[in-house]
Amino acid sequence: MVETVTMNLLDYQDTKTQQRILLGATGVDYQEFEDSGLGFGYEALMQSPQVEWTDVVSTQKSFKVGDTPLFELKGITQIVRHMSRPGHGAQILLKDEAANASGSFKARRASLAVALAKRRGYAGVVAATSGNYGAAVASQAAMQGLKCIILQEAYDSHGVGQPEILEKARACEAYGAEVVQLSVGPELFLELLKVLDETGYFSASLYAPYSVLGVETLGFEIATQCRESYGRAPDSVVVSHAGGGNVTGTARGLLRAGAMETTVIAASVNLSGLHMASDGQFNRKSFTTSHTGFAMPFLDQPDRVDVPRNACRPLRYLDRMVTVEQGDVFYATELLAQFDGLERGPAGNTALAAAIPIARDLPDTALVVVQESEYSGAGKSHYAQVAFARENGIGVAVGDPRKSTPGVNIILPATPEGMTVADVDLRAVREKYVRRRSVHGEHSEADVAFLAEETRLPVAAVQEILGRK
Amino acid sequence: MSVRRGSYVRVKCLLLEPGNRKSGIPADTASVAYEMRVAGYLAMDASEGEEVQITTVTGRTVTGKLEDAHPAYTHTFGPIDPILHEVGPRVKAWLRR
Repeated sequence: MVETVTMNLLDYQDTKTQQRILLGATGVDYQEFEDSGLGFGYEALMQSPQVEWTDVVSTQKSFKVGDTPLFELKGITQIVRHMSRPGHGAQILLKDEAANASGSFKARRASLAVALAKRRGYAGVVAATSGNYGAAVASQAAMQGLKCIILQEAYDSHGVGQPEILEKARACEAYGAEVVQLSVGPELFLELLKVLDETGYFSASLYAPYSVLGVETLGFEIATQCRESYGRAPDSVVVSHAGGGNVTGTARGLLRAGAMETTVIAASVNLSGLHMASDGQFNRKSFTTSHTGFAMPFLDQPDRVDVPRNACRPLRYLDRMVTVEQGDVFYATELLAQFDGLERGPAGNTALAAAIPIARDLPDTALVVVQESEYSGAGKSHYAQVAFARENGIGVAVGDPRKSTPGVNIILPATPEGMTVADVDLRAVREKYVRRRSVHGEHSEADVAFLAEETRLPVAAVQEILGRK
Repeated sequence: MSVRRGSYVRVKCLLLEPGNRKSGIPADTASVAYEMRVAGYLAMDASEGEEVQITTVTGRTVTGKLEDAHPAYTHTFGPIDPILHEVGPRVKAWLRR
């Protein structure tokens, strides 16, 4: 009798096992980029896909991605100007990323990942995502002829699924993918390793260099389209922010286009107080992406992802970061539909919710670009989200959104004047990043230089923090 | 009731028992099982609740408890919520002020 040895899921916590699987599944030897100290060669990692820029653009085009419209949001700009002091109220533009195959900007990332997998001879692709990225990978795998498995954190321990995530599962299955739905917990990474090990498929990680490169076209297009229509790059670009790939790729694309003066602003939905790995709190949130539960930990601990070194490093690129409340985003979603005739989101409208109060304080000559939209649908719609919140005992009211408590209530503003943003103290986050990496003993010059690059803090400030420790 | 071999079904698999979860996770999560749900084609005639094998659309074989013989997409747009529904008219009135 032959005894089959199956590995327990927890056995995949072994570092050597992880390295072996990820090397096979990404084709990237991350060890190559490691410095002797605490740093690594970020730009060398970013160049590792060895793809020419013209190939990036043509690959995306051939797979129904990119070149999306940049719309003037005339209705929302009118609302902004109605409440601005004289001479103020910037024009708001929307990059309508819902026009990509599969309905979101995530197709930019997926198209390159799947093309790379195909070129390298993999039979299939695997991605761990509860969001639009799953549908994007599934759609790209369908058109490029690869098999596809998507792993989602979908259900709580009572088997109740987040409607937004169930819709993504449906979309993945519509594109012919297999969907592995998991209950709440960080063991998802271990199951991902198990599936990669078992299938030998390519890991289409959101945090790989080509995944960021795919978003660079978005920033590049924004700068180019603004110059064509308005003779200059935008003053501000507001980006819905979670894992950091959207910010990193968009900012790099703007820089690639020479838009050095454009302010890059990240916007996340405030979900403070809700623990992302809590079974009991899983269904008390009304946003499963673009929220602080992902955004904040990734800022100062970017490498806690499914690859050894994360290509998404928002602190290198962010000029400003703000949070909005869940009620602000639902409100913005209504405004976009009712005043600009676009039914999108809601999660993708996080940046829009931030852009409205931001534009209010800018001169009326300024251009503010909301950098993405996403498709809407059953489960994802803000109506579905609010209904699900009410089913879970979350109060829904009109008042001051700032007074809401995530997981307890959702408050929509009474008028657009009630929409605000709260600034995140990025200086404090940058300093925290350095403190986390300070170890006992001396730091080499290379360490200090790396930390300065990572955080955009002056070298002297990094040295001071390290010395203090 | 028996579900025919070849039917497209969903199974539920126990991956980790409660108390045997990854260390360092919140207590409420650690106290419940880690579960997986996958859909595929049933390998044998079976009844709901039975341990079965399925073949997924990518050709993987998965063993689990037959949970749903007729998986369906039941998520909706939800009811018309009065608070959301009033946003448009209220802002139109506000713009006229």
